[in-house]
Amino acid sequence: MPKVISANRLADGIVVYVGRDGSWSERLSQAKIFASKAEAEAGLLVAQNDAKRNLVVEPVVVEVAEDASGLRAITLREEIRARGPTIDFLPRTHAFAHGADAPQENTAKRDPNAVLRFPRLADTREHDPREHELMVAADFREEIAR
Amino acid sequence: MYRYDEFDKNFVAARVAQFRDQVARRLEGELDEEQFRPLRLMNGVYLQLHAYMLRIAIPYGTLSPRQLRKLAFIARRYDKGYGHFTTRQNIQFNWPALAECPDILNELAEVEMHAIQTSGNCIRNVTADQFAGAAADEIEDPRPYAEILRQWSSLHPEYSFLPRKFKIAVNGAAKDRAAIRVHDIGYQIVKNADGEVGFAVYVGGGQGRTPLIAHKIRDFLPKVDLIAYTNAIMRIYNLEGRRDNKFKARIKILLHEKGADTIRAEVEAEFADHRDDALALPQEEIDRIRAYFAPPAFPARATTSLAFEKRKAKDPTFARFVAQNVVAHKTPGYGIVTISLKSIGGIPGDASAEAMETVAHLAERFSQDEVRVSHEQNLVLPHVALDDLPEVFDWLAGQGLATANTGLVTDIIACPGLDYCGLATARSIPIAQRISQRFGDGARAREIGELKINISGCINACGHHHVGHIGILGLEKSGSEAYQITLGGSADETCSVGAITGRSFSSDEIVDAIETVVDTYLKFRAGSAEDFLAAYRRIGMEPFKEALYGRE
Repeated sequence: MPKVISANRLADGIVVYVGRDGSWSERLSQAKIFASKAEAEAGLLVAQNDAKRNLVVEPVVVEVAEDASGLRAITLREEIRARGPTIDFLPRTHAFAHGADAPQENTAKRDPNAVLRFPRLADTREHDPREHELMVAADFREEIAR
Repeated sequence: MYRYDEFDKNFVAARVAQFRDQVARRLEGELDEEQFRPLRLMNGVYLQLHAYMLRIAIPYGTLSPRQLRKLAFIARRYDKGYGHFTTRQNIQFNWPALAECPDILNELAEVEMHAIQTSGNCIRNVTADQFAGAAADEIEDPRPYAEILRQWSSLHPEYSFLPRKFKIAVNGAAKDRAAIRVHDIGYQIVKNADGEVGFAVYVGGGQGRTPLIAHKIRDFLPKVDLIAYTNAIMRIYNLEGRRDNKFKARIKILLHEKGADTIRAEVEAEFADHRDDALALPQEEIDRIRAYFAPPAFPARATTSLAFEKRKAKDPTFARFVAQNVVAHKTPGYGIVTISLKSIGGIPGDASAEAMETVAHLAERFSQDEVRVSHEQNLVLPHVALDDLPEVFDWLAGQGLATANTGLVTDIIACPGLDYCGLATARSIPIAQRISQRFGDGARAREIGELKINISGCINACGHHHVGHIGILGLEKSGSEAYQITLGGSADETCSVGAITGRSFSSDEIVDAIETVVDTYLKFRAGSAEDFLAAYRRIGMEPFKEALYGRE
């Protein structure tokens, strides 16, 4: 099973992955894939050096799978670390209007029985280092449940 | 409310400076994570799934508008525009950068707030019932005693390294709104035969992995002995609490293993030994602290408000809001308003910066500058004139803060769960949202009546599922989320721990299962006057088991 290495950035706690170029990236899609356990362990040692250098905390090996839509973590917990909370937590104005209309902008197709919605990011969205990436995945919930 | 004196101000400022230095040294590598972790935890800074989390203390759930505005500012400036009110009357921010935490603490210090002792093996926030100082059924305001305990327990050198965390709650009416029987120490204000006010003392309650109901170890503790007696309990716990096993380290385990009678005898002996020490609370000191909590000078109002009655008569939405969210105040012409942070389909306990500012504004104009946080994750305006209620309602409704569901099936307590928390085994918030949407905000929810659903995303029970009328515990089973249902829990003076129904339910099944439970209640209840808890206590688990599992 392919693996990546993940940690939390020390300064702001944001989840990061060892990238293909050796730096730390916030995007799972840019994570370096370690094909074998041995390679992953070696990668972890390097990552732990970065922990000692006060860049990150608690690097860990995370199992992933690769499919048509890209890399995804195997466990729900790691998927949530990769993509952020599965809930629509950012407040909107009048965020608690009961009997709310469908959210105004950028939502994935709305299943009336589900409340898992991911804001759809424009591809040109400016990268805000403090904002964790929320990826569009219309069938995200099904993938996780499986 | 309590105001910092010079000593407090200087102390908190020094503490922030100290933490700023610690953070700088951590970022530069002078301190490694092992060394730093306990230091940041002592300032309420956790590392969660996606980010750090900052837990800020709100002593006994009481806030001024100025403080609430500051929290809104912090939400906007340092976080993602919202905060989460917790089951211990605190507030949590989910996205602070470590590097900015000292600045956040500085901002908090300006309004006499801090994050000290919101984590770690020390005495945590002393909570009280959210209607303290206002409720018509109150014996006496519990907050002065919560404040006395707070001052005494803050950075107490002897109790900074307890075997485990320690939680104290104080309740001021016969009705327990502070869940004192599932706290390490619960103080219940009582009157003795001579009409003297004091405390009944409960010890050894708690939830988590091993839910246990507190034992009453004292029928009557005079006020003068409050600190001395608490001290005796803490000394016994500090001495005998288990330090070998984190999961057996709470005082509830000590009581369970040694027996309440033994612990009572030990506490009384310890108390007697130190009775005449400096810990006696002089009446002047009690009076001094009570003065901070003196009721505001309420402008006199007629018991009945014409404006209020007229609005109720012609506006059924307002009438429903009053029926569900407003309770009797001790002063004629006033009411206590609960602001639900449980919008239908919303995230329980979360409040946007805008919502906080609206509530701050309303507190200033209409609630004598006071706001409360309830451990059920709602906010309270404790002193609203009935004359003003229509206007308050309109303000709240305009901001989507007028959901009339206090205590109803949609007033769900939910921990942050796997969406945020590193300890979680399952998500709790989406379950709360789906249940809320299933039952909605109409006649159906009102028909069901009082029904407290509490959801925890792991066995640590921060969502208080053990004492929910319906409790839901999120677990992991073979890589998927699984939800276990408990029934018949209660956090009030009839405290009980819920019983498990049987096998757990998948995420897809759980909301249907909850609906089945509710439908079973509706089918078997002895009329609409019998609420869920009463019906469950009468009919037992069997009808629910059968409805859920058939004849499996």
